[in-house]
Amino acid sequence: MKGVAWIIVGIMLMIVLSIVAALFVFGKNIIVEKRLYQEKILSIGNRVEMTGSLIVQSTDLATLQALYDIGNSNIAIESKIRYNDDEKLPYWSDEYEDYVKQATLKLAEKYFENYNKSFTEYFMDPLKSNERYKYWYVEWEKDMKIKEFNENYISINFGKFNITYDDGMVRISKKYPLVSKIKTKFLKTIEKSKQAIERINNGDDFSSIESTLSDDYVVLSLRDKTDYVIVSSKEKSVRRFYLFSSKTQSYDSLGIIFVFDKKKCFCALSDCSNACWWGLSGPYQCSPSSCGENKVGVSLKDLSQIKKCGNFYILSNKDHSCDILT
Amino acid sequence: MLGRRRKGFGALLTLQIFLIFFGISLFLFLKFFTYTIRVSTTQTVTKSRESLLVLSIINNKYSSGENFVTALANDTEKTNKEIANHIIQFDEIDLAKVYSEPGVDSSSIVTSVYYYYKFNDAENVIEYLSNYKCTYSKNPLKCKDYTYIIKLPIPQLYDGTNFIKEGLLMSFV
Repeated sequence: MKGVAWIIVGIMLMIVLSIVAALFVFGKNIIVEKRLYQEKILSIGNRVEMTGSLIVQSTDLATLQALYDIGNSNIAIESKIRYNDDEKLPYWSDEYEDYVKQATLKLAEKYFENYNKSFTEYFMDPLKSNERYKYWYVEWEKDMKIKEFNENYISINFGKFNITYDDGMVRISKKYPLVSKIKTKFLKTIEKSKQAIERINNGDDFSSIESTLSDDYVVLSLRDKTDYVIVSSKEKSVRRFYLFSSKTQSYDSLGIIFVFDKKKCFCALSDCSNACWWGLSGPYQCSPSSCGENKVGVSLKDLSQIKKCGNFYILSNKDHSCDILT
Repeated sequence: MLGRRRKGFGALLTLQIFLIFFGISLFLFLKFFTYTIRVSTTQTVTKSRESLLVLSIINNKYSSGENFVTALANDTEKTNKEIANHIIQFDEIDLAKVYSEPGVDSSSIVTSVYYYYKFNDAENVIEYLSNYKCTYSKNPLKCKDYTYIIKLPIPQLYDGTNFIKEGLLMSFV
């Protein structure tokens, strides 16, 4: 019995010596292999994170382009808004501001659907990459709503995006909130145009309105067209956008452009000139009895030389394909 | 009496050796299997530097104003300058050289090849174009700061054909 304890001690010592000797002989390789394995995991985790970050940035691009296209009336959706057929621009009305918000939301959703489709094909189309198809899974949980629409930022919530990598040994999964945040004075361009309308109604001189309402952030311009005024209120800074008119990318500004009818009310009678007349102060004067429903301009679907693509209408180029809007 | 004392000493020695062995085993276990902790670290790293770079590339190439950068940095001017420097260096990477690096399997280049880069060094010199150099020609334990090059789908403004383009991005870990 006395000798048993020392046998155990001897065995323990041999085990320890074996481990130390093995580490001495193979240590560097073990470290190298371990590091490579660590790097593989790190790299995949890194790739998931960066992919998530990039997808979130797509929401910014979608929001910016949607704001640009709706504000500039390159694209329109059906609403109560009436349009000037010559200019292919909307007439100002009380609903216009709300229309801009809702149309931007819908168009941003459509644009992000294109990004989502591209990302999904990139990761999950076996024809593009069989390796990615085996290990990656991406999914968009759609939940569209405007989060912020203030004088400094416009932010849209798109929902969430799931990214999963699973090769049997390593599994990384993460859900990214999709929220765009655009630093812009877009709301200020709307406010400035409202002030311009008020001053036009007061009979102020156009050049005076332009010079006093333009500032370091917003450029306001007015073009008199006898019966109506084209009001353009845009940011001073320029950004790069896709232009439907030329089918290329170029620099332009965010903002709004619309037509303001000079008449104070719209005539119920078909012959407007008999019921309304040009007043001494400038704008049209109408007898209250002649004022009827808003009949100025035409509805969106009655505009000529435009292209319908599902729920959207391309106003700036009737020859543009519907690929990205349907 | 003497026999009893010797037996007690042996048991104590056995216990001590067992504890030492257990301690060494625990140390080795922790030393070699800490990657799970490092993976979680990666997720926090992305909030700062690598995200910034991704955004800056979008910002520079596809021009969305200063929206992206200001969201992540208080000192925009400094950040822009820093990012501009990174992009210049990123653009200068000779990818053909990376792919022709001896011992580099081109099929695994997406996830395993990166270059070592001294970010805080005044010269900002790219020292290695391959992870393999750092791993094999130097003590791997000293390779602690890495810059990865990863192939990713980069969203861009619609150009008439695509919404995303595959690109190589570098990131810091």
